[in-house]
Order: sequence, then C-alpha cells, then structure tokens
Amino acid sequence: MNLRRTMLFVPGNDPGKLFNAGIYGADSIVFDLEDAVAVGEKDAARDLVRNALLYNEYPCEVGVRINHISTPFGHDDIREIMRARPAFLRVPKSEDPADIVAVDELMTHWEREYGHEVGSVKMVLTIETALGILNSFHLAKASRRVVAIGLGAEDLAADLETNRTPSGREILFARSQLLLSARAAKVQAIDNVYADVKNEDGFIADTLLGKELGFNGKSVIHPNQVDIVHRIYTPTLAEVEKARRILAAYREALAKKSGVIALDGKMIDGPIVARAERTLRYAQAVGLVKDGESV
Amino acid sequence: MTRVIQCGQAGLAEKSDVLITIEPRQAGEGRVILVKSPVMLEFGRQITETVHAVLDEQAIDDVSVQVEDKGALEFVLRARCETALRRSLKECDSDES
Amino acid sequence: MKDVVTFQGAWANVPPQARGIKTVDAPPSAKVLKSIADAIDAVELKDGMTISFHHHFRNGDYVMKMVVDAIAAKGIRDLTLSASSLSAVQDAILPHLESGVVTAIDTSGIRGEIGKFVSAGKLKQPVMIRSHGGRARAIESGRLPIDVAFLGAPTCDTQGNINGVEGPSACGSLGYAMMDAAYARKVVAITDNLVAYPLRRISIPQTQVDFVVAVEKIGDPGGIGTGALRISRDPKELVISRYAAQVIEYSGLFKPGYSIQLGSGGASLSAAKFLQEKMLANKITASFGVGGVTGIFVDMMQEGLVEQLFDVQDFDLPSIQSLKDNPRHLEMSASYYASAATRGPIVNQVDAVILSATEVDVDFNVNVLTGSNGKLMGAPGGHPDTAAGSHLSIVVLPLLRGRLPMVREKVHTIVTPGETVDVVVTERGVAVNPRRQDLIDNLSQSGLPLMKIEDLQRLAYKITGAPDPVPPGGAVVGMVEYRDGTIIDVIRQQ
Repeated sequence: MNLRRTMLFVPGNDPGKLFNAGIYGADSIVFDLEDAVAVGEKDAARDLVRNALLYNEYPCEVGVRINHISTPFGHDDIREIMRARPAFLRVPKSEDPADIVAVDELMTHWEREYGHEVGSVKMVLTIETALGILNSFHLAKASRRVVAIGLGAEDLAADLETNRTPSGREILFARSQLLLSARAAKVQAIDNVYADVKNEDGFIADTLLGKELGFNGKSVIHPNQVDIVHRIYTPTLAEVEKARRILAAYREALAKKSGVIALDGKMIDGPIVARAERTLRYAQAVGLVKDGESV
Repeated sequence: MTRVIQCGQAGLAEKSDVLITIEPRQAGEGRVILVKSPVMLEFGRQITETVHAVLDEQAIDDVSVQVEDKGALEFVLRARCETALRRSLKECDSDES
Repeated sequence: MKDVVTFQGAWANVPPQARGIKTVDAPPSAKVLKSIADAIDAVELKDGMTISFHHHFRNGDYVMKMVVDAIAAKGIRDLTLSASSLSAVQDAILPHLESGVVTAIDTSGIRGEIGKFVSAGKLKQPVMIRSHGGRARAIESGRLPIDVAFLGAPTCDTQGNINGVEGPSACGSLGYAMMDAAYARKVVAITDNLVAYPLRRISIPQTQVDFVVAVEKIGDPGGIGTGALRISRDPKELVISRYAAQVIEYSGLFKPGYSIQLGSGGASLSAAKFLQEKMLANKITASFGVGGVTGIFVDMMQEGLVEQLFDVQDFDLPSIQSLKDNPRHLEMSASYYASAATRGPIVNQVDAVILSATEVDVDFNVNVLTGSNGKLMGAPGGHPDTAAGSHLSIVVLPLLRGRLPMVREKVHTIVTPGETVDVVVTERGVAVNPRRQDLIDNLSQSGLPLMKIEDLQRLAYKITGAPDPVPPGGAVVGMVEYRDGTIIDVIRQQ
C-alpha cells in the first residue's frame, strides 16, 4: 500500500508550480484541473498538465483532479489526461456510485485506446456533499480502481448549511463517517484540506485531530504544510522503540507458549500487537527503519 | 486538411510561462515564427525548433507564430502552442461539422 | 644622529604620518565648509584623480550624485571612481560617465544602467571588480590610492568624528567607509546631522577627516534598509535553505562555540531560521557571528544563540538599533572582516558560511557578477573572501532560473574559485566538493539528496536542454581581481 501522508494540490495552469511540485517531499501530488482553474482556461490547463506528466520526472506518484463528468470539461479531461497515464484520477463531488462506474468505464476505454494496462490508473474520490458522505462506503466500493477517499470540507460545509470554523467541529461527524467507510471498504482515508495556510497552529491542531481519528494522510494546498503533516504522521523514535519491544515480548511469549503477555507491568493483547506492527510498517515505509529489519 | 483560420492565443507573458499568438497566413505562404525571449542567446534556436515540432505534428503550415517567452521550460512551450493552435482551429472545426 | 630637525614653533613643521600612505599637511583652521563645491576646492581636486564613496546607504544614497554633479559643474574630468559597491540608485551618475567626468571605475558591485554602459564597452578604461576584502587589501597596500574620499556621515561633529548609528540617515556599521577614511589623501565628511563637538560615539575619528559639509539630506531611509527583513515564504527557497542548514548540522562543525556567517540573500536568511531551530533543539550556541547583519542574526544574539556579532554593514532597522545599543554587537572594518593583507581577518575564524550565487560550474567555480550571457549585474561582495577563509563554505542557488540552468559546465565569469567552495545546495540536489572527503563522510548520514556536481549539472541540462554557446564577446571591459590581487577572470564586451 502506498504511503500517502500528504497529497499536495497544485494549480493546473501554473507552469512554475507544476514543475516544482516534486521538490517538497510530498508522498503524493495532485495536479488540479477543477477548482484551481478558471473556466476559460480549462483547455490550457489540461494541455499543460498532460505535458507536465509526459515531460517531467517526479519523485512520487502524481494524480490529476479532473472536472466532474457532468460538466462540459469532465470527458475531455479524462481523454486527454489518460494519454499521459497519471497514477490516479481524483474525482470531485463523488456522490452517486453510478458516476464512479461511468468514470471507471471511460478510463477503461482510454486505457485500451492508448495501450495502457487496464486498471493501472487508480481513483481517489473526493466526497463533499451530505449525500456523498452517506453513500461513501458504496462509492468506495463502486470501482476496483478506488484506492482512497477524501473529504472536501469547504463544499461539504456549504451543503450542510453551516460555515467552516477553525476547530472544524461542524464536519466532525462527516470526517468520522468517511473514516468508517474507508476502513469498511478497505481503502485509504485522506483528511481534508486546511485552507488558512497562514494559521500554522490551527493547521497543526487540525492535522493532529485527523491522525487521532485514524486517517492515513491529509490533503494540503501549500508546500510549506508538507513537513508539518509528515512530522505528525511519522512515528517518533520512542514510539518505534516501544513497538519493537512489544513485538519482541509477544514473540518471546509465543515461543514460550505462555498465555499472558506483559511488558513493563501492562498487558499486551491482540490490538496492541496489531498497532505495534502498524507502527513498524509505517516506520519502514518512511525510512525510519531499514528494509529487511525484522518487523 | 487542417487550417488555421483565426487568431489563437494561450499562456501568459509572465515568469516561467510564455504567451503564444497564432495567426493565419495565406495558403502557400508558409510559417513565420517570431521569438522574443530573455534566454534568446542560449535557447532561441531550441524554442523555434519546439514550435516547428508542434506544427509538424499537426501538419500545420501557413501560420505566423509569435512567441513572447519569459523563461518557459519546453513542456510549457509545447502545451501553450498546442492550446493556441487548438483555439485557432476552433471555428474551422465547427464549420466543417 | 641623523634626521634631526630642530623645533621652529608649534605649527611650523608638518610631521609625516607614521604608517600608511596618507600624508598630513597643516590642520585646517576650520573643518566645516559651506558646500560640497567649497570642499572640492579645498581638497584641490584635479583631472585624473581618484575619488571614493561607500555604499552603506545602498539604494538610498544621495551622496555620490551630489558630489559628482558638483565636480562636473567645475569642469573636472577623467576621474577614477572607487566605490565599495554600486547600487542601482547610482544610475543617476550615468550622464557623468557618458560625458567623461568619470572614466574609470573600481568597485565590488555593478548593476543597472552602469552595468549596461560598461558591458557595452563605453567606459574608457576597463572596470576593476574587487571583493570587499580585496578592496580593503588594495587600499591598505597602496595598490588603490585614493585622492579624495567623500563619505556620507549619518552623524558627524564639527571636527569630523562620525558614527553611522544615529541621525535621520542612520545606516549602522561604517565598516567599508573606514578604509577610505583611514587611507585617502583627503577625506570629506558629508552629513545631514551635524552635531556639537564632541560626538559621544565615534566610528571614524576626527584624526582622519579633513573637512565637513552639512547638506539637507544624504540618504533616503527607505532605500538604506528595509524596516525588518522578513523571512521568505517562497517554498522553493525554503527547501534550499533547509538543506543548507542541514549541511551545517551534519558537517561535523555544529558544536557548541562554533561560528557562522549568514548573508542577506533570501535563502541565506531563511537558513538562519532553520539553524535557529536546530540550535535550540540541540542546545548549541555559536561563539560569534559575522557579516552583513540582519534582524534575524540580531534575534539569535538576543535569544542567547549567538554570543557576539561582528558587523561590517547592516541591512535593516533592527540590526542598526542593535549595533547602537548592544555592547556584544561590534562594528568592524572591511580589513578586519576580510583583507588578505592583514595578520588575519575574521573570515579565517568562521566555521560555516552560507552564500548565494548566480551560477556555479562542475569545478565548483562561482559566478556572482555576470548573467550567463556575460552582462554585468551583480557583486562579489565578500563572497571570495569568506569562501576562502571559512572552514565550510556553502553556496546556495536554485538549479534553474526560468529556463537557465544555474549549475553549468563552465560559469561565464569566475569570481570565487572552486577550490574554496565546499558544498553546492540546490532544491533538487546537494553536491559536495570531492576535495572534502571529510564532509562527504559526515553528510552521508544526513538524509540530504547528495549527488555529484556533474550529475546535478546533467539534471539541469536535461530539463532545460543544453544551452547554445554564448558568443565569446569582444574587448575586455572589466577585470575581476581575486582577493590576493591577482586577476582571476575578465569581462568582455557584450
């Protein structure tokens, strides 16, 4: 499974930003053809993003957020962008599982047309309406291409007839629901964008909340946010060390066939072992622990 | 045969970007490519080649292309040429359809 | 005994000065003159002489234009203009270059219209480009004799005692002006803050100043310094500066009591912020800092992260204020800072320095003077001096500017030789000079994107395409003098 602590959004019609998107260490990049591009420049952004994908090398996966297929731009986006074979399409305003199926079929069509392996381009869904939240499990299951679902907080707040607040209380339920659906559907859950890029404290609090809820990573809209998210999502060396000791105690107990396992006077049970394994896998993925080191 | 029938523009004369303006010429008049760039000395030749390459790919002759470059990389130059070209063909396509 | 001269009255004999090239004649009865024109007469300025100026007012300087206008009005011609640097504001004297009032220039920075004028081959003599330390050396050694120094003086008393920290045009340190004051044959202080004798705080003493002229304004505070330099939020620049700070952290020099020099370039400034975090986290303090000083450096001193600052020039209001108030913030001359002709300038004690550059090449040579097309547009400043003196010189620059690759096969003009450059940091890779195996070893654990400089150059060319060769250019219009007085490169007509 790919590490997606950060998904960095980059405006699709900005040559300099597209070119430099890879230097900030984000785990995943999304070139945006939707909200970041004016209606009159949709065609230009599409050409620019396609050429950026074809000509530039990026050190991580790069996806493209397309316009919804109900708009005049969605079909052209899929046709043109699939030529350059991005890692995934990020599908906005995902609400009706039938739309996801339709996008999937279009992708399959163009994959065949361009000679790409069918199914090689994945999907990440952005869910940003009340109906979308309620349908989120079915959306995640609508196509085998779906590898992650994420929350679009701004649109959702509007749909909920409320406003965005610094604390994000108004979307707490939706966030939790999205996480539940992702886990049930066995896809990754990507936390929402924090739009106030100058409020670093607010951003840190929001990122911590997402991590506590169980998200795999966060969408970010400014390169300077990448490091902050990585610091929060990456286990500390102390956590890694503790996970190691838990697993060592667990293995020792297994070898001795002893029923009760304890470490530092505390019981170790199944969920604790599972968590320790996850921590070490994570540490391995971000290079804190060398490959091949026992997990 | 595809023909440029109106003015088509794409891009911006801003840092790292390039403004491309394509205009039709009479049949048989061939191509004119005018480049203005801060990196003319070292990359002027390559900029002209890229414009020719995009025109070749779409078999377009009889156009004038003005390139107002602000240090765009090749992928940007290509993209802006493609967009400008498509915009200059637009009406032509609708005529034929 | 030989050379005995008998006493002939208190004022009869004019003693030669003990050292140096400056000579003393009868002390003027009154130093304060009415106008710059009077001062030009008093110093007996003539065709072909060398006049000098400092650049502490940077882009807010009014002095050079005032003086050269007055000189031109007297019909004096063929002067050599020596400046510690030329900011864009000095384009105002271009008419006097065109008309032949000034026919030679000696400076450590050149840009704007004057840069174009010189690049076009219109100056009668080739311009001489020197580093800050190189200019100090040239003055001290007599290689660059100055006939008259016209020194903008933010605060000056009636006997010519000067400081730079008070007055409406305060600029902070007068480190570069100290050279001219000490060695010019005649020194004229030009001030907009003439105060009663004696001045309490003195940077340039009355013993070196011949005349004082009060004028309405010597500078524009808005152009002298910015309010407070802000750390960039430009994400690409932050990547570069984070890498630079990481280089220092893992270099082996990052220990209690280490010393640093930080320039005023964007990436160099924001590196200070990352360094600050690392110093706090590791409880490491620096024994001293050197430079061009900015508010960020001052903050670090106030937080106790840097014990002491040595200051040759100031870039913003907080640093000027600190120089005025904080006894641990010391003013130093360009010679103390960087001259190779001394018993040891402070650059030799600097552990790590971060320097911006225009372009570098695969031999680690650095150009900070001309564009890739050969046109004059920069300033060596203290670059060659501190690269040579410090134990770790880090050059920071973006891999590309627009479509131009900044790591190249050959730089257009060598200002700082590669043998004095240790690490090149770009946003897409960090290259260590192969002469520094110790650094290569130390940095291998840093997590930095290390690569060979040749690979960095190939990466740049792969993105931009290989640049077509620039025509070699015509006649020599400038010479680049290395800090030791040798000519390291020339600039040709473009």
